[in-house]
Amino acid sequence: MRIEKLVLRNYRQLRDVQLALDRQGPNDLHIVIGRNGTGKTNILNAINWCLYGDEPHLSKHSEQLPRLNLGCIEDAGHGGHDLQVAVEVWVKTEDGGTLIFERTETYRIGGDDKEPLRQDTHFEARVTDDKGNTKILVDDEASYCAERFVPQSIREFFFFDGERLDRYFKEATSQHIRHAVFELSQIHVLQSVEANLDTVLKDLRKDAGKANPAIEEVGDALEATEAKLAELDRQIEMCAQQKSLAEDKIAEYQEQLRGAPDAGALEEERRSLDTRNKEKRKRLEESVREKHELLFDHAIRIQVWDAIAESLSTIDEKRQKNEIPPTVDTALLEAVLQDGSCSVCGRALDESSVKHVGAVLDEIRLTSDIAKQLLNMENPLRRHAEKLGRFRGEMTKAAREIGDYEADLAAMERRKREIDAALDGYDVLRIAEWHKERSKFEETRDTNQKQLGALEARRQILTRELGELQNRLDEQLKKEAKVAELRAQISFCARALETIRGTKQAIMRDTREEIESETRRLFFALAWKSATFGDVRIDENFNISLIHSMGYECLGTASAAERELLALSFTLALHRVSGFDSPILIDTPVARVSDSHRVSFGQVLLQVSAEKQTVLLLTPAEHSDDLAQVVDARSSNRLALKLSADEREVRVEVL
Amino acid sequence: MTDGRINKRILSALKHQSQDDEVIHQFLVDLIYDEVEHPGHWRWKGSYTAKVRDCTAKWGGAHED
Amino acid sequence: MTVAIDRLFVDENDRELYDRLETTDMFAGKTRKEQFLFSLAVGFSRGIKRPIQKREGFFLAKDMTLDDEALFSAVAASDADSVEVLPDRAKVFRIAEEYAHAGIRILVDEIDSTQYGTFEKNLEKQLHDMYDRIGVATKREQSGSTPN
Repeated sequence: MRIEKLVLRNYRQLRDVQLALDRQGPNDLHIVIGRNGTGKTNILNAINWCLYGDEPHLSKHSEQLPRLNLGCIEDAGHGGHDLQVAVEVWVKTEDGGTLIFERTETYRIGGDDKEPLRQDTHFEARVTDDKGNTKILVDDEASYCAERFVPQSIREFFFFDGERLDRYFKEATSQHIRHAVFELSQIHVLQSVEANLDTVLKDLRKDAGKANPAIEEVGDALEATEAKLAELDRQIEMCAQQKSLAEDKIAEYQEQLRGAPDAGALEEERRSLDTRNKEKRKRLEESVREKHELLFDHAIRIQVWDAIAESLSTIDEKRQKNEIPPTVDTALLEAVLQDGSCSVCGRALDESSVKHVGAVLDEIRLTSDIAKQLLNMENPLRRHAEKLGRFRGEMTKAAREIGDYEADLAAMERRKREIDAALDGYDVLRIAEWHKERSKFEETRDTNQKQLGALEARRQILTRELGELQNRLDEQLKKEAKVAELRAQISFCARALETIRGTKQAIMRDTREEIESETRRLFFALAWKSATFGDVRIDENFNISLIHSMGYECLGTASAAERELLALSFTLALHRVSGFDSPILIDTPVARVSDSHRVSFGQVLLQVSAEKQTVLLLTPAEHSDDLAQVVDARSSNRLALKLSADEREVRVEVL
Repeated sequence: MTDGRINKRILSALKHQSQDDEVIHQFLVDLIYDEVEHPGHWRWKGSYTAKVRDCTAKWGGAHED
Repeated sequence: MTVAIDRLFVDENDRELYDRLETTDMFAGKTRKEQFLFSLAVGFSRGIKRPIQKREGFFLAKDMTLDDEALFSAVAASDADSVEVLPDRAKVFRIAEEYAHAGIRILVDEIDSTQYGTFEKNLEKQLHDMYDRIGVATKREQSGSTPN
């Protein structure tokens, strides 16, 4: 299906506008050029309003204004009559028929109050077949028709603004994409059948239960288990989504952190080094003090060693001569002098004998005192000698210990310098924040992974229980003759349910795989730098990834043009796989695409238009010479929107 | 690829899942068309129940356990 | 004959020099007795002693250990070249005081002439050299005692 014509009457600044979009040539490409404010985006709004009754792309300025054109309000004057806003979308169907969607809104202009009052809104779809027979559909039937043209829930894949295209994969979640696939595959139809059949089955079991309480009991248990299983499936889905979201964020942070140092860890290491540095310095100081103590003590010994050695030598000599300890008892001689007689023979001492004994006594006393002093010195001096013997060993040990500490301190300083160099130029706080965020999401991912495991295990158990209950129910039903017919219906319903569920799963899987394959094919067919990228993937959870040729996820760092290209490829894949052959309308498609990529993007759009009606709403700035050279000559229509001098209405000029 | 109302993909997947059980297949196709023709809320129970009853009779002996 | 001595003396001008020892890491926290012993050792190893001009009490004799007294005695015996000096404790201490009086001046001069932190390094080197010289003698003297 394609749009043949748009007719707008009194719709905002588009007072009386017709846009002919008939195909003329090999490319079904249509270019509408208009400055900001000339109603370009309101063309998109008009189509949405016509088909669905809303205007999702209204600017803040337009929101303040009535839908009814200001010029016609002005011209209406004070008379109390009605004015109408009308938008028609003329569609050509595949079978050669025509579908005209028309929405009108009537406003009453009355009295002095120029504020138009809305009276009513009317929406209809006029279906004309290839034989010229026309049917007019209104209300729900007309809405249904619009749904068949472009389903409202996925209209953003058909009518969108370029900025949205750029932001698409930043904002889109896997849920969003899954929903799109759902809608396009009409899975909701299968879901309705499944839900209703399930209700019928439950009712049949209840009816059977009325005939036999045992059947009712098992039936209730079965229903309860099915409910648990459904809840579990919901939890599993949520968990999988959370995990998937977390993985996306992790990939995003990985990309941001690529090449950046682990600032948090390095800062932590630096702090640890500072703490260890302080401790080590303290120990070094202690070791130096201990070494100084050793030095002091040994210095005294070494410097007086000659004296120590001499004394020890003298002591040894006198010991050998038995002069140490002293052998003569001076008390005996003192007694002799005092008594005046010899204590051995008893003879009295004469004067010379007294002198002689006195001299001997003096001599012995001196020798005895000396000997006592030497004896007092002996052990201390031998201790000094022994300690001195340990001098070398102790000094070497002390020096080694100090050397080790100094080496450790030097190594720590080197490491600190390395850390400083690694962090130089980086916004350490921001990097640390990124690391923190990444860790948070890693935790979320891991938690959800664990939970998924537990939930899957529980699911297995519940599935087994369900099977057992089903068997028990079947047995009970077999036993009860009264419910033979019910049993047959239950069996039939169960089989039908199984079939519909299998169909749903198969379609989702096949659709996803096909969309993935088609997205990949289109992306690489359209991409101007296809060697940069390795793959496009849509996983089971409907997460879309763009894989670099080097193997890592790179959607977050792709350029705006590349993201738009991927979004466009995905959209086209959806169209092809879904079978909805409806046109694409893009407002400001290349506003966020850099000049160098615009030409490439233009060529892409040209390619797309070879198979699908493509309408581009461009600003003059977008419609640069480069782009014009690529697209103008091969477009089917080129139209310009021109604003009147009083800025109240726009007319269309064919270029 | 749409069959006017139903995506052909659904119809072919349904055929495959039905595994040559024509009664089940047709039953489900009928239900799907019913749903497509009655978007939103509709009185489905009577239609479903009647179809289940009729189709079970056709499905009959071959599937008795 | 021994005479009871209750304290050791330094020259009154030496007190200021002993105070300056505190500026060197190795002497930080050392007692007067320890400072005196070190000065004595320095004076003895240089073979220089000087009579004290004006005596001033420095530390109490009771603070000395047997090991300390043994060193004093050995130095006195070596100086007198005779052990007969040993009973005269007054003389023994006097000899020690004179060596210490010469030693403290030499010590302070050495400290002042080196950069901060290098005195200990230089001392260590000197000691190793002296130790090498007395090494054989040390082993001989240690015969019978437990060597390290």
